[in-house]
Amino acid sequence: MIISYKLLQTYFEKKLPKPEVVADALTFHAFEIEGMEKRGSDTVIDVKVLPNRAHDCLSHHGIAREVSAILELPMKKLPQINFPKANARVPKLSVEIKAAQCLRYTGLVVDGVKVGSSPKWLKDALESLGQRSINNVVDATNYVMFLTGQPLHAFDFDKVKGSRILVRKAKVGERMTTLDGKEVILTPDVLVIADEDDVLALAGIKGGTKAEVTSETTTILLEAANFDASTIRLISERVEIKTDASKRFESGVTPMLVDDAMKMVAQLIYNIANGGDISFAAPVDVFPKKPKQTIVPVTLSEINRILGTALSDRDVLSVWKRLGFEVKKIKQKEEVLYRVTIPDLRLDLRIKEDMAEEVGRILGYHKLEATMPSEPLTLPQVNHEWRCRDAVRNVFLGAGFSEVYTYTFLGQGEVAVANPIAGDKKYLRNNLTTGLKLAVSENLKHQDSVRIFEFGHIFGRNEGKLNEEISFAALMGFRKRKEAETKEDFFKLKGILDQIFEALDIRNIVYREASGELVASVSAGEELLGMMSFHGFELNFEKIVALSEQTSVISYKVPSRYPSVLRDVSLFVPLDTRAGDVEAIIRTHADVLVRSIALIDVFEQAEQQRKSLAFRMTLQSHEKTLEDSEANAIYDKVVDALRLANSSWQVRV
Amino acid sequence: MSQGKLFVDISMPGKAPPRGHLHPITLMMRDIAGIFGDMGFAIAEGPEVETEHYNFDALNIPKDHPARDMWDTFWLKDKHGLERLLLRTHTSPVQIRYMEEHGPPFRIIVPGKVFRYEATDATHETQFYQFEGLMIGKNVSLANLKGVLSVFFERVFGRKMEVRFRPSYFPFTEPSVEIDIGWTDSKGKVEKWIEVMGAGMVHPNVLRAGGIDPDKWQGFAFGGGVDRFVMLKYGIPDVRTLYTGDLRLITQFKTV
Repeated sequence: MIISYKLLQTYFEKKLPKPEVVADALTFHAFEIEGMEKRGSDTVIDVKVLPNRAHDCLSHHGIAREVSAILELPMKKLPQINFPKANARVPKLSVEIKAAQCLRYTGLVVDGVKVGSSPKWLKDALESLGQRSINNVVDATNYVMFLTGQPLHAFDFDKVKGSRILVRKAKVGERMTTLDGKEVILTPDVLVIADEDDVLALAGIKGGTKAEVTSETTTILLEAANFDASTIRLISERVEIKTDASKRFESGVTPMLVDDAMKMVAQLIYNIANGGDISFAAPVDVFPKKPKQTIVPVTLSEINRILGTALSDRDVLSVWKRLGFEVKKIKQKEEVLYRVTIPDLRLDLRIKEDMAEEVGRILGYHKLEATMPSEPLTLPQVNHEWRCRDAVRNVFLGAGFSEVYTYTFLGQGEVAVANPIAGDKKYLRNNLTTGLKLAVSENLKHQDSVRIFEFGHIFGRNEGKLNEEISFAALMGFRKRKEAETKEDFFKLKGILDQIFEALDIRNIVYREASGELVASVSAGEELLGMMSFHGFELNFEKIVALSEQTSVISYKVPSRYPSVLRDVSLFVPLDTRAGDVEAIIRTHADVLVRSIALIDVFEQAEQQRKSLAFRMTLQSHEKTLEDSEANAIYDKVVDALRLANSSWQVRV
Repeated sequence: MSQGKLFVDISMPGKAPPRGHLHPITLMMRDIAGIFGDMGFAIAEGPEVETEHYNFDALNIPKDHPARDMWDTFWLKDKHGLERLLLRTHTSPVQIRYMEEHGPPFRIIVPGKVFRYEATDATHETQFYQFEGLMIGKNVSLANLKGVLSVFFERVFGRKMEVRFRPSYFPFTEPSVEIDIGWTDSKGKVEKWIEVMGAGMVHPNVLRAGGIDPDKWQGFAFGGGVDRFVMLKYGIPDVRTLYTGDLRLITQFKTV
């Protein structure tokens, strides 16, 4: 809201402090200031009025009331304006409200008007508010709106068919051309101002051309009305027209504002658009239901408890006085209860918290002393997922992977955005790998190898329904990579996963071969966790967190006092034999004394189409030192089993 | 050299992959969680796709109210029942989700990604990280908010910070404030003020929506941008560089 410093001054007898001081006062006690600049001999202050105060502070009067309360400057008593005596000569108006969304309609017919250009002072005032002057009648309605916050409209009354105003819902197929030439096709939920035949205006939003005030006009109808806020908001969004009027009405202006605004505009028209023989009809006011006066009860200790202050009765009373609130004070023992009568204009004050805010901001939040809560300390719940994430991060860091954050919006996916910001951001990502690939290729412009990982939410579908889950993924990239190195990369990634599972104490992990671009699937037992490629992997993090929560409690076992004995088993197998299958046979046939089995050596003999695998068994007893013969017996049993398992396997003894 | 010990060229590099680096957003979220953790705040999180109910209605932002214009929203084509789904515009829906699951008193800190439908520039992104704080108790006041945040700002920036409240409006808090922090010079004079958070006392309608009796409980809530704190703390001029995965930025940050 652009506020003219000059116009603001008209509300006060005393001289206002400098514009900078006024701006600071508003900043720390009411509204943010978005800017300030000199315009001619005036200074304008751009006040950011938020939706809770748009109903009363999109006006000079509203801002003046704030300045008055903050700076403790009394406001000038506005001169009482009375309507000139009604003249029987003026044509009669009848008004009918046929839709409940119109809360009040006041019409005033003025005859003997001379439409022309506005006086210089009015043109200047509108210009400093950033408004274009149109003619004296229209300018008067605009000017009074910027002063009071009440939107007003003027019609050429001779063009109002039947001298009747109907506030009603539009009929199917009705159309209206707005004053700025936009043709609007109306639907039955649109609230309109009409005469006997046609639509004259979109209620509370914009006037139409039919009864437009022109230089020929001599009789005008001034409208000051009030409409249901959410109706105006809905309609203005529907017809895509936002105006100074709709902005105010959608915020819920009080219908009580009509009276002063109507008097003020009538007076102004009398002064600046007088054709020499101007005369007024009696205003027609249809006001079905007057709003009730609101009284908010609040106690001194409630205010102090919300703010965390030790304000006195005097402090609080001074705020009510500065704001001009009527208060009934009731003292009960230690407690002071205020019954505050809320002025009609302040629709935002309804509960005790609202009243605490008025006290806090008017006195100033600098008065709040920073104090630590005195509440009993409750033990915060441990966030297990957060811990797991850090454990996984540590593994990645040790393996040389850096963390990135990429975009949720992508050009492809399963879940579409209804209002995408760009063509390549139409979908929510259904994996992290796509984003990582982009980041890898960008980074390869600057370095020859890249290792990155990411945690993030991904969005897919489960039986058609949107499914959000937390994923984590890693990806390596190189400018050049040989085949042998690529194999190594896979095992490095597998090593990272093994470390992650170890860090989170998750066992029973199974790797299975996968098809296509992918190399392996990663499962815990039968539950699929994710997939691996040669250079990356992506896994469901939530499943991993859940698995790590299931892990058992540690119960200490006393280590054996006797030395361990090693036995190595080596064998030649065909190139496509899986080491895991061989190990499984060893494990099945090994004795209870075998504490661990490890693959310790692998080499290939390509020309013989075979490879050598060497496994080391560590044997240990809790009861005695193992004899060579006992170890040999276990070894022999394993060798026999291997020979029996596959005739193409050659155990080397 | 035939006798004596084995020669080794100790100037050669050690053998281990160079350590990776953490993203500055992670570092900042860790700082935030750590500092508030020390003050008894638990970490809570929530989904990025939300319903209108959790993102707006339950937070006292009714349909057809101009206050909704304060958040430019990405909508999805999907629905949840009759409700439209959206990308959460703030971490505040987790306030309601947490209240539904936990009775008062409690204190939580909610870090997470949020989305705004707006043109991007050096200080605006369509996605960014926020952190939300919520403390509910018997006597938790606006002065307590100033106390808790003063500790936070001092710890996160490693120096004393001036804290200033200005009146504001958010539908889910009453009273509502904007919070500025001030860098002081050697004489304790503030050199510049920077707006960093919105906050206030939780609106009784929000407590009610979360199943908490506002006649018995009260508390504060605040929300700030993680990205903004990253930019302020480390002097990063463009928010967009946080999401390109550019290792020339990331490798400037810690490896633990």
